Amino acid sequence: MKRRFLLASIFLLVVGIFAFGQAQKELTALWFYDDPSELEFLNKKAAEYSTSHPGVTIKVNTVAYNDLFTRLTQLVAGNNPPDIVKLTDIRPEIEPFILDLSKYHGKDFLKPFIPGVAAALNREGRILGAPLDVTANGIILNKTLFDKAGVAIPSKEKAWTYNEFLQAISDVKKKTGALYALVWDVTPHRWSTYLFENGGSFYDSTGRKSNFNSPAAIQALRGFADMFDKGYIPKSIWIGSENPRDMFFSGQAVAWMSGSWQVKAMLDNIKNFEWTAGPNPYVTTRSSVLGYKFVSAFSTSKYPDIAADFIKFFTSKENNSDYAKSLMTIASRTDTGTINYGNAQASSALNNLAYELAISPLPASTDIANPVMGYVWNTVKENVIAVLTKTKTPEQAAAAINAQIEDSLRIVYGK
Amino acid sequence: MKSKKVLIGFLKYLIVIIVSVIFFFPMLWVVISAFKGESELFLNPPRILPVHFTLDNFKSGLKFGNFTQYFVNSAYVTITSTIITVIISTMAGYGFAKFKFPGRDVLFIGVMATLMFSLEIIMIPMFLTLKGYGLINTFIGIIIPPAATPTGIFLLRQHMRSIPDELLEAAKIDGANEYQIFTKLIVPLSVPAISTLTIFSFVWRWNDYLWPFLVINDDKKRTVPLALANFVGQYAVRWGDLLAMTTLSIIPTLIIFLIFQKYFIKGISMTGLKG
Amino acid sequence: MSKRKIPITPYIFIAPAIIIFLLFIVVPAMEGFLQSLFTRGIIVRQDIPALRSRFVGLFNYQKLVSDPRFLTAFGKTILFTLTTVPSIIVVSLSLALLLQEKIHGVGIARAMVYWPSMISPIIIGIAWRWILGYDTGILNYFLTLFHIDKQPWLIDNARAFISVIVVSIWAQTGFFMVIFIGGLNTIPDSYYEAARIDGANKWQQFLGITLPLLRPTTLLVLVLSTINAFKVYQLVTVLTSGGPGRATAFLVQNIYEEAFSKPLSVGYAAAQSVVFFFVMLLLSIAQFKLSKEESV
Repeated sequence: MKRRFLLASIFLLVVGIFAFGQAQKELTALWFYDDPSELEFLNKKAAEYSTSHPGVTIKVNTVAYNDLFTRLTQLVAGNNPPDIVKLTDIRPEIEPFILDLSKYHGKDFLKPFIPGVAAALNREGRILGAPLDVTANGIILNKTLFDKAGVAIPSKEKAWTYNEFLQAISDVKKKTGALYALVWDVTPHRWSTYLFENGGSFYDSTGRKSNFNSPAAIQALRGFADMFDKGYIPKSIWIGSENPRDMFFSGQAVAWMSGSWQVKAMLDNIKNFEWTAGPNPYVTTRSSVLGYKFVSAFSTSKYPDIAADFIKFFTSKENNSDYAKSLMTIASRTDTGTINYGNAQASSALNNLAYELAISPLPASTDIANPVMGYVWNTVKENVIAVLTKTKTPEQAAAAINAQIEDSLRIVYGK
Repeated sequence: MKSKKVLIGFLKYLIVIIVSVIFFFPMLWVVISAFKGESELFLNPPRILPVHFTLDNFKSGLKFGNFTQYFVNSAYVTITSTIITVIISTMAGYGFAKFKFPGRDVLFIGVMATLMFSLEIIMIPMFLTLKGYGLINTFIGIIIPPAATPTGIFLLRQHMRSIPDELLEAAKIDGANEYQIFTKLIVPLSVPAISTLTIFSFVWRWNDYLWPFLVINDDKKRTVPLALANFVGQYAVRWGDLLAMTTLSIIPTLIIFLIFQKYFIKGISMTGLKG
Repeated sequence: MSKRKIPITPYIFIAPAIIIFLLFIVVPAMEGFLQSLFTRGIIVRQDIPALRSRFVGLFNYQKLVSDPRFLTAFGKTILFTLTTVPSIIVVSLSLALLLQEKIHGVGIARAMVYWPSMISPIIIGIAWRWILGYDTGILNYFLTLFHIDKQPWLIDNARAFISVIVVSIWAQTGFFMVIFIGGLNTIPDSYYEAARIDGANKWQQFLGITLPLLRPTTLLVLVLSTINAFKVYQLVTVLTSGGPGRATAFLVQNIYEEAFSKPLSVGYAAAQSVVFFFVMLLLSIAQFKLSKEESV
């Protein structure tokens, strides 16, 4: 009798815990960020979602951007992947585990988003994520220095060639005593702006073959090194570890090749000079480079439907517009209309860069989205630096990058 | 003759000062700079003292995620792991120092050989192993594995070897059992070495980055070094916050050092008799 | 009492430590060795073509013998070790001797020298990266005050290599100085007294008494600093990211990159790790044998 009672109460307890556990649905979201306001925004939206979906909580775990891939592969290898994750690319190792959102939201889910990014996230009909925001590479200028030197910045319709541009910033540097004419972000992604501006590209139009060993690419490598040798760009940034952003923020640089994501930080931190963005200089082709971040779900999630639903919620027209506004980035949807960022300087900069992106050649978007790119970037950076330090000729560097692209394509897509 | 001695004495004193400055200044620089606004950190040429002394970095660094929580986590992990380290190293040191048993030398060499491993090179198998034991995302996973340190065992063994065997014999004759010999005789005589190991272990565990990185997923369980890494964003390093939080994270090790330094700066005593 | 009993007590005392080593070092190490026999990525799923693993036997080992990246990293690591280790021994011993004297404030000086050893290599890397900046670094600023040219510490290959060595020495000297102080304390003053009475000067006392009696300590410092030099990773990557270019890319960084930045390269990285381990082991054994000490 006592035994049966014990068994019954254990049974009820287990059922109770089970039922209660079922009622509480917890999803984890793995996120990285630069500005703390993004984390605030995410937590706010997660709380909103919980309120409108009782029983659901979204737990946010953060990771430093540089550790994202390492952490993600660990989690997947440990059979413990997050439900939702913010990504900049989908490596072939991770792709098999990403949830196909078209199953929940239909084939046309990505229609309201910027075409370049939508194409990037659509792999043979499978929709692998929803775009969060879009970034455009571009030149940022210290307007106060230009005004002081009396040098004009061309309109965005006319723009300037690199020769004209370099001449202009030299003038400004000389006349104002600025320390640096041009500083350039130390990433291969930013360097690739110069590649496209020279008319080069990484892949051919199918994305399955390398297009890198071309005169345009070789010229891009050579021209970039020239800018250092001629003293336009200080060697301490690409060859040493100094940070171009810090140099620009301190007011000592005339121009800075970076991109639209810096707008918020500039508003927050730059108080004693005016700045503006664009137009991008060009050699043969006017170009910006697309960057994007998106949010995906894992097919291993216990609640894939909730994960997919949260993604749809987070990237709705209203939320996407709010997201862009609070982070001061370019929205990834085309139906948000012109966003009023509440600040003239920011709005003009972001709109100029969005314009540059819109007139960029197609590879500047599609190449970046190539799945193999994740394995190529490091090689690009290494070889660009090798040309700068004269350890390799531009021809050798181009050949090395080309080889890495072809190798990676082979490993990922097979012979 | 006397003036030569004075000159040499003066030179020695000068060298001591220069050496102290070389070793102290860099960290002092970090601390001073934590009080500068972000725009002051990359001036060309740099300025030593802040133009505008500010606590902003500290405020925003502490706000940026739960830094107080991370300090608590780090403290918990560090203290627990140190206690375990001291206990098992003292035990193992004693076993290797004062007993003869089959396999002793081989095992000791094996223990020393584990120094050759760095976590980076066995990171992936280590992760899979920890996952197999169910230790992922647990504090135990960062407390227990690093607690066995070859250096600690070596230190204690070295120290205990110089405890005269006669003392142990005398205790045995007096009727003490093994446990009593260990706790009432060996441990008290090993206090200097134990203090040294305590400092070492505290510093090592407090500064561990890769272990918590490997094991911890939850933001709430993060330790301080992991949290510092979050100041390195995709596009920029938040230098101001980073310097401020770095300054704060140095304080606990400094405190521990000041408490124990009496036992320790005099030198790691290699004998049980002297010091 | 004729039968020799095997005592069980010592095994009990060493058991906790040994168990932890077995569970958390030996097991992963063997798993790592196993991985070196395969071509595989971090995640293995035999049902997904991109994630399959393939048994390749000793192929990875054959590959690394002729891999220029691996060999260069290996060479650089050896060069780094050969310069750092003797320097550390000389500097920490000198400081131990200097700071043994009864000079006013010597305790504080010792504390300051030891201080960097208490700080994580990541923080040291961050601080020094900033200090060695070309235009914005405080070191170059001091140089200009003495009318010396600004040096491209982290920009020029040779200077970057030197910077890495110097910072590494700076970071570790305190720890080894303390070990040397301990060793110096075991030499009875009476030996020095006797030598002084015999007419030996300070230098002769050093060569005749200090050095020989310091042998076991010196050996310990030698072995530990060699191992540290070989294992260097966080300090260098935070300071230079292995740069400029690949000028300061050492072995552990190479292994880490191989595992995480290339597809299906985990087995190859594991093979490099195995080689790395055995090289260090042989090096340590050689150091012990060469010192002709019978017991550690």
